[in-house]
Amino acid sequence: MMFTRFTAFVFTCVLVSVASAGAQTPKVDSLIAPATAKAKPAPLPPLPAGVTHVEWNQFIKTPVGDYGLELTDEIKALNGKKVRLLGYMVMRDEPTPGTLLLAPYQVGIEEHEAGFADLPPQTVYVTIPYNAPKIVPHTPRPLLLTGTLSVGQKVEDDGKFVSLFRLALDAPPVRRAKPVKPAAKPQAKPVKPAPKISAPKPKTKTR
Amino acid sequence: MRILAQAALAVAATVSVSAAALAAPTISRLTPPSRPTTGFGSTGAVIARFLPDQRFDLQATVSPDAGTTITAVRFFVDNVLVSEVTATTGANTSLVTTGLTAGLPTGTAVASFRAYVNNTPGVHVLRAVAVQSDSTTTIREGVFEIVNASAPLGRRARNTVIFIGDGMGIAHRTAARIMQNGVSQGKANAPLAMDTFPGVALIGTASLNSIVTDSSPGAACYSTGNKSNNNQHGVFPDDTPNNFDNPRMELMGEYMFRKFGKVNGIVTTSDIFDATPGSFGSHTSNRGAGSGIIDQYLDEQADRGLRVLLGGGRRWFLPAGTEFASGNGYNLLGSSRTTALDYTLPTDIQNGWGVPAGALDPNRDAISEFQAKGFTYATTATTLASATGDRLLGLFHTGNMNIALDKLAKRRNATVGNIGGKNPNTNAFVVDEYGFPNQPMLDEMTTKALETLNRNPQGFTLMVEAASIDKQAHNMDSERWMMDTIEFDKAIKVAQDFATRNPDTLVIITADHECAGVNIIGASTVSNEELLLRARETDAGTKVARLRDTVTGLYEGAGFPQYSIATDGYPASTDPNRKMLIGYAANADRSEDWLTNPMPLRDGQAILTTSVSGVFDYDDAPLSNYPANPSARDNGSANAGNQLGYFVTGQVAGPAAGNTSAAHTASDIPLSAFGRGASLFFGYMDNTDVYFRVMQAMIGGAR
Repeated sequence: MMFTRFTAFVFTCVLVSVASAGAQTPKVDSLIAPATAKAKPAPLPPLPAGVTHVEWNQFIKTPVGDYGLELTDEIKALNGKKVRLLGYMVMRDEPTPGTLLLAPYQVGIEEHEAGFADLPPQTVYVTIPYNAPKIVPHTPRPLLLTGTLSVGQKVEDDGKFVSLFRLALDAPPVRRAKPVKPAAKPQAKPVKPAPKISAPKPKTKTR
Repeated sequence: MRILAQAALAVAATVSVSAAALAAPTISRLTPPSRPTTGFGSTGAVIARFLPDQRFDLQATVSPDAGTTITAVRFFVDNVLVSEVTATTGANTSLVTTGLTAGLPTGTAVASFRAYVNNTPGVHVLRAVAVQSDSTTTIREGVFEIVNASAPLGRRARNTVIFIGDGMGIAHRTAARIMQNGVSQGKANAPLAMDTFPGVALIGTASLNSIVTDSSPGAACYSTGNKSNNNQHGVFPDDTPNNFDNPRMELMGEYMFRKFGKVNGIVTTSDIFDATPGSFGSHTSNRGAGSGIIDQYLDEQADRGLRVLLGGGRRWFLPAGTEFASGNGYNLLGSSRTTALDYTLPTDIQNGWGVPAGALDPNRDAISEFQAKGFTYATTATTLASATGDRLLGLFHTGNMNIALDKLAKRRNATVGNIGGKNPNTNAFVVDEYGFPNQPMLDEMTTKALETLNRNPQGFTLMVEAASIDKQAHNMDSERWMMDTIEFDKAIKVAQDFATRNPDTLVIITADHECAGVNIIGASTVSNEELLLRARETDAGTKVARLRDTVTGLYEGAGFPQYSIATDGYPASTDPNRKMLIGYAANADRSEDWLTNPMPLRDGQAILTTSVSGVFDYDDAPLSNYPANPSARDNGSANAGNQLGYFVTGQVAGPAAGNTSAAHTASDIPLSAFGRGASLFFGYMDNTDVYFRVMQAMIGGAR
């Protein structure tokens, strides 16, 4: 129920049709160029006030230096600010309830084999404002997410993922209640106990 | 004959004891592994072989009868008690009943005796006697062999360099030769460097649990002399889920340093935690446990002979830390270290092998710790070339290093020929978009490794891996694995020249397995311009006729494809007219247009600088034009450089079954040998034989 409402609000899925060009007869030099015309840019929904749209190439400086990755000044300046990101939900085999990972492209990982090693470094750890954390069903569709960005390296609470970027999603809007029939007796909705979420299995056991 | 006689004795002993008890514990696994000594599969051949004084663990998994417990396990070798292991013996033994693999019978115990050694050449009978709380016992026996590698056959090899072309079968080699040197009137215009090696053998590559190996046991056999299960290296399988408690066997580097003071090096183009480099410096049942593998290099190897470590994989050396970590004043972001992939060792391994306990420490700064141990740290081709000292750590990428083709495109600045290596959407070089524009070539890494290791007066062993021959064969990216094979051959030439100057050096060229069922099916019958035109046609209905039926030149239709060579020594173009065509027997679904792919497939460690705001389609990624997998390449999508090939149905599982890449095969792979001891390599050999021949060359000597 919660998820449905959440999905309707946050998971603005965008689908763009691909325009294709007809065959041409260019010279060899130009044959290295695109086989088909680039897709027509798809307009994203207008940005809400106070929100910055962030592209995936705005996260990390290149070339990489002698040690680790460096964040761009742009992304550091957005720490704590409202941002919007367009990306894909990482397909996980051991998802952490109440979270999803957002990547620049469709990607799946086998956490039980190699952890998060195959994810691009821009991958964003997204926390979802559930009252009781639930596992987010995977969707292959692109997601347009808005929330508050925080940057800097952190071992996440699940103890498994080392995030550089986090996005705390906005809470879903308060929906207007349907008009209550005057005759209906107001009743407290029974509180549904939170589903049991078993803790992720530890990878190693020390004998 | 001697083996058979001993095996017969062992069988007799087993029968007499088990008949004595109506109920008794069961020994479900005895390590080192043996073939059955009777019945189907009993050939008398020995599975586990070791050198005199090479350390390995003894282990038995024992399940008691209901209502009883296992109280002791006694290990005997040739009827002599090695140890009685109980819950309290401690030291280098353990009797573990918790943390075992799910599904084992109640009360199952794993008994271990760590770091056993035997100095007597020949076949030995290992017997485990399990005792349960009602005093009933059972016995299981197996055999292992101690191989004499000290026969005085000639001068000893002071140094050995083992080159592993990951996934390199015979066809990968042939294709590289055709591309690099050409063939005219039936004869190769020139051999590859590896073709000039006098010792030649065929190598069988099966692992302990499959005819088709992965890189872990495929490489570890050269480091240990033994078979391992797939995904495991430096260990035998066991009955616990712990990645780092399996029965160990001593690695070549460890043994040669302990016995002879020889140092060792690991050089690879992959992420340095990967299976092949990992097989030469770590012991684990999970090849993916990157944090633990890197930490074993540091904790166990750096003080015990490891002197050179070159490759990608910097992410495992950076501390996971907390927000805005900046140790040493440098930015250290981008770590992949996690507790789940780290390691600690049980006390019996620590005591037996004399190694540290390890720690679950994602915040470790391994670069600084290597530097504190005296390692010079290099990060680019430039800093590698100027590195000095006798210990060297080079980390040139956060993940896998880029492929030779893409590194070369940047070095040429696109002024020489066309080999791809650029993103047509952005006109940026691939290595720039990956964030590492100045990575060394493998021959440069090999040169520096040899220079560094050769400072040790007692000599060295060195493993050099060309990792992306395999990785690009998996991707069915023909020109990329061919260029990596050529890069590999240039590194081999460096070692061959070294061995010529230092005659007591053995150089081995081999592989861990074949990858993708690669073969050369012929050559294109059309010009490159015509191929490009046909690949651009969008009518899928005519693709097979236009790109396959009238393009694939077979037999005399193939002729002799010729590639011109640029001044840097590599092919100027990988798309000449009438180019060589490659087929794949272990292929996954793909679209084929025969053209060099301008970009490699996506890599998780690529730092994408490409941004085409708002341009994306449903099947592809926004802001990333790199194809996700072979099925997404040349499939006519809107990305520049993404032509429209004809669809080839894979023979291995496809995307619907969760697989998108070509697979390893069980084919034999070629081995070539040069220098001191090359005469020891001939005929058909099991991959574990290679280890013992190398050891014979280094310990006993060879002509």
